[in-house]
Amino acid sequence: MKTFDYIKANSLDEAGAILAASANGAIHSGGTDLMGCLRDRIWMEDVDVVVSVASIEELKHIRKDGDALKIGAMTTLADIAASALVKESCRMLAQAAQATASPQLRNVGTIAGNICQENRCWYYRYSYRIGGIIECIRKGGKKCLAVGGDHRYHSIFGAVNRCVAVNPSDTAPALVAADATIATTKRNISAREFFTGENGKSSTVLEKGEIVKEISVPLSGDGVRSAFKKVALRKSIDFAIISCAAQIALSGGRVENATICLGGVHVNPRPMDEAAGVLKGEALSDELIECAANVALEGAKPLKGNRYKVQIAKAIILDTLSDCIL
Amino acid sequence: MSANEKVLSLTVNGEPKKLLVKPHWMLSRVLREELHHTGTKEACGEGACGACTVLIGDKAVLSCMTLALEAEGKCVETIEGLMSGKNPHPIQEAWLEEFGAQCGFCSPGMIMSAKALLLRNPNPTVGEVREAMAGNICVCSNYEHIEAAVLSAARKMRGEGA
Amino acid sequence: MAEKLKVLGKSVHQKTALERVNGSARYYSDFQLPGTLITRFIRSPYPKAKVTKLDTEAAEALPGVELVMSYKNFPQTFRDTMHYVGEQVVAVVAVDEDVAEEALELVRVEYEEYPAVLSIEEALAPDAPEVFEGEPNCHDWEFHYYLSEKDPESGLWTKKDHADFHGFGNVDEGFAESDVIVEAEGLKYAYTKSPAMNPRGALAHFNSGKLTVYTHSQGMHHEKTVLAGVLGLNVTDVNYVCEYIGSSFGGKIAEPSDINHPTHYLIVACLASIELSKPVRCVYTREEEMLCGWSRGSLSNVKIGFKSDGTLHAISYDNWMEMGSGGDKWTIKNSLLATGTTLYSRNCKHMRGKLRYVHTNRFLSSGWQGYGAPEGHYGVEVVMDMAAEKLGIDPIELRRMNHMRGGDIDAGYDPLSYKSCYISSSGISECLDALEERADWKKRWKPPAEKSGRYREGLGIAIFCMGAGRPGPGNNTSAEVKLFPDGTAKLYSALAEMGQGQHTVQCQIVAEVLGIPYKKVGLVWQETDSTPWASIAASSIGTWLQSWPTYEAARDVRMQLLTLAAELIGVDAEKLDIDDSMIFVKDDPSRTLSIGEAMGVLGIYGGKHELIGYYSHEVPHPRCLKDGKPGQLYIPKEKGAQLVSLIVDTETGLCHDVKVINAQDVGRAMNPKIVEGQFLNARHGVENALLGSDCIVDKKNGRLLNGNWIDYKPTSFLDCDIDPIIIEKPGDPTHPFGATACGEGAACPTLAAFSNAIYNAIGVRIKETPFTPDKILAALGKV
Repeated sequence: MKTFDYIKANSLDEAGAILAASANGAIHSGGTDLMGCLRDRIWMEDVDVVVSVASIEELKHIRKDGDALKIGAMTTLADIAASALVKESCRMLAQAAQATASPQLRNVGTIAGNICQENRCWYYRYSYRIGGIIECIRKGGKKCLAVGGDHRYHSIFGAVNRCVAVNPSDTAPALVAADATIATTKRNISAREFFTGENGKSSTVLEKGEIVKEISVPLSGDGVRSAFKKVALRKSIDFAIISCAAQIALSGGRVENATICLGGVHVNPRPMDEAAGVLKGEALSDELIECAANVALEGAKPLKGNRYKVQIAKAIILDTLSDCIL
Repeated sequence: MSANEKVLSLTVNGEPKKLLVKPHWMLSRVLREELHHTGTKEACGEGACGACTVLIGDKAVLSCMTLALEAEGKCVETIEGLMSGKNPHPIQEAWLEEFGAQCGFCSPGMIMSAKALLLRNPNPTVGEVREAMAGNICVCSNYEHIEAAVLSAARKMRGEGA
Repeated sequence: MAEKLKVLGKSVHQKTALERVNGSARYYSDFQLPGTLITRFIRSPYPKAKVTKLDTEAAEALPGVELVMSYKNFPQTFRDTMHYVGEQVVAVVAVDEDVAEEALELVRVEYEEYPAVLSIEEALAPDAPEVFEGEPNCHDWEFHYYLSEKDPESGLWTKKDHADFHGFGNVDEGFAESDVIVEAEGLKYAYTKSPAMNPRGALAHFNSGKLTVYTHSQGMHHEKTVLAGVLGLNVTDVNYVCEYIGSSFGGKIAEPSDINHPTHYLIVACLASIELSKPVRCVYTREEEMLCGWSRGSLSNVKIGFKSDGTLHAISYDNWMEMGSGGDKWTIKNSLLATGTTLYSRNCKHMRGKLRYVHTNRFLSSGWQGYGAPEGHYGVEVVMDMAAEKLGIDPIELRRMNHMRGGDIDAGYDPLSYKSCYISSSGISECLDALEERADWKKRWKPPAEKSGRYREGLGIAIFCMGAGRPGPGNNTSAEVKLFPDGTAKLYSALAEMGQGQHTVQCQIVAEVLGIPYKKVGLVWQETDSTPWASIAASSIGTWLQSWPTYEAARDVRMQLLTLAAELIGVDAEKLDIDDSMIFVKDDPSRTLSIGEAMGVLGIYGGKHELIGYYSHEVPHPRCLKDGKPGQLYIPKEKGAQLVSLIVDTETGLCHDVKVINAQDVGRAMNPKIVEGQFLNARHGVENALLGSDCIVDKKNGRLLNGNWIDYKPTSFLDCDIDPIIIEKPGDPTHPFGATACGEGAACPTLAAFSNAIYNAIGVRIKETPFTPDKILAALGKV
């Protein structure tokens, strides 16, 4: 790993200022993704300064505030997964946090870090140690190697800026499905708008020096149920082949409102609004759920080697919605 | 002191330590190379195997994914801190009785994960043991023995004997 | 010796276990010497290339760089031709890792890239580029033999001749005589990687003309001897230190004399240390280990002919083993173990086995944990399952009818220096019985046609045998035992301990023979300087190979002690026995003598201060011969049966509730908990079957895409349950206490058992491992 300057910031303002002034600074929350990126040197430019915000205590909280659940950016995934408040008011988020990585990584990995993490495309993350990095489209190369190469875990909804990597976060689909708002040092961003398909060293719309401060999840009323499901090869320490978060508001036996979001299918977490629309105003039944799952995948554009993911996506939507109404 | 070296103060197994580190050094490197606590192992370098697990406070963390400077002011416990004199910790005793170690390379990390579990949950179910240990890989595939060791250790620590 | 065993058969605690659980055990990477230099590599970005320009001047000039190694100055280890992505181009030796990494960036390398072959299929294509110039990619195995004559009395083969296949009888006739023929082509065993917790590496320290090497080794005396030769040093000037091994499974064995073998860490550390007279550490990262760990993978076609009642009659077996760019051609021999030469030797009258090894521009393959046997079992045990269906016979019953029995003839490659041997024991029937009962097979097993719904249970079975004895020359092994007047003993044995438990059971043998408590037996094993030669601990032969010298050396000491005691008591030594550390007269147990009394210690000028027993043998031990007849040899196997049960989710293609039951006849479980631990190794089959374990290489640029433990997934705590069942069938003649091996066996049948279980669940046969959701969903027509 290349060395860098390390600064422990006492506040987000201070951290933001250091980052803004740096040539190529990086923020350290839990560090679990950052360490991998630095170790394998996946970025074209070396990081010159690491600004740690991990120890800022006021960023570690889970509390009810008016009609929202507020989660501090540096709250660990373990704390979210264990929180009775989160389980009660946004079950899918607690489930997604619990499904992430491993106990040790959840102990330090934070919610902000989880939604800001880099993708896991094996071309993009190929370590420099064995023959040097691979210059993929994301790194300014001429093409995406996954499209013509091995893309079994890549996008089934086409490329963005010619890159078919997928967003690997488990909590991101849950936040999108919950219609969460992400407060940064500069603004409030809807979870739907937070992720970006831009190439380069970022998977979010955050600008240089901008840092996630707090996540705000609207508190749901009675009759709202949510669930999260993940399909992965290994039952621990693994990224999702596909994940799904869904939330349903029932009123008088009919669906008043519904949101569905898939992870692992596209460069960004993918809201399935048309599928959710199928449910609205209807009484839930197995047939209806299946219809929604089919609608969700109607626009899928799988690559030659990942058509199986379309089937998994349908199945996982089915399972997640079923779990919502259990 | 070279350009970007920094002073790190931390407590390791109850002993205060103060040393110069480079910002990019991992906690595992400092424990092993600088403090010569080689019981903590490095195996995957990616946070995917748990061999480097240590406790920071009462939490199990991966020392090969933790910058040493992040441990500033913290209490770190490694496998070397478990024995009291010549007597093994109950978890270590259980490991001996249940044959928890084959090659033994994962054992220090496994045992630290077990300790973190038993600190917060003295009476875990089989499912809770498996969940808590699921960040630690044993390529000797000794999980059934390890599970028995953790459950036995829990009984010992609750004073119920093996 | 006491009539009843007092130490063997008990799960006494492992020797050196406390060190392993308190962090004081020193694996090679834990040795620290002041002033140690660090090594880093530049590795080839291309699968096939030639270095056209190499400029290391700037790197050499960087302060802190002590040595830059390349084909220019160390041609014995570095080349200018590259055969796979990751082959070493340059090594930098520097004061620390930061300097070494900085220096790597200062090296300028230019390559000319050539077309490469990245799979067996590509390598076999007409006009395929050659991996090694002037050498064909595909080789027939050089040691095919046709066995043509049998001794009518012993049943052993007496004539063998080189041929272009291995076998006996006439398969064409055999198939013509068969009522039912079942075959499958293109059964592909993915290129899987040997797992090791501690990646390979070495710390070498050359000082005052002597070289000390701290590393891992499954056979440190052999490696040291070869290494000394390669380095041009006297054997006596090299000491190999190997205290603990962070698992190996065959995949970390070193072969210093072969430039194609991934032993470069060792040579680089030693050469640099000799050059600089400083300690040099060369430790591989996980990515490097994923590259260099031994792989395995093959393609096979299997055809089996049966009589209508299910009696197996003829087998034809073809195997193309991928060897990568180098590797070990011997691996392939073990694939025959599953065929009519051994596992199905009982009824097989006609056998044709054709083995080939194929070079590709990938990192090498040398076979690990099973050493070729898992690939053979995959092909044969899948086709046996297909046959059971076609014959309308229960899959367990079909195996029961045809599996090898003790005393059957082994006509495979294990008896390389013999024409054939007797299989010393089997116990497979008992294992099948145990599985049938444990899994409630008769009630639970149903044909696929009776399964429906989203979640479908599948049960699959496979039997196995793994070579566990190498009777040929070169398997010399030794042990020394010392007995002291205080009643303690010390075993000097270099047999490698990798977690498989040999240190413990060898000490148990000493305690048993000497009649002393296990706790009073110590062990010296750490280095070559203080231990007698032991053969390499591979092919699961530790039990068979090392138990004899340990047993005989302990008996040697025992006889010396009893002879001393006999004089003092005044009876013949044969009339004495030892129990609980007391020597007594068998006919009059009240007449006793302590070990100290027998040794007559009278201070530093008197008595015997230690009794030393030693035994060294060229295998086989005489007791392995049938009625003592030379050439009529019993050879042990690992043998047993495995059952996989799982539930296939037909919508996601994932398998749930995965359970593997491994039943194995070990003759005698010298330490049952250790035996159980060995059976748990069946878990490797789970990752190879379900977790996508395959070295995935980009088809264009040849890079290993999943060369880390996130994308290549060792099995976690949550993925499956393993249920070990120990079967003890006494009487195996090849071991002093009737034990046979347990080690690699559990890895052999697992992929076939998984294939059979998945077929049983969904009614579709998937020919290529791993059985990931993409393939399962495709098989179900859902992709």
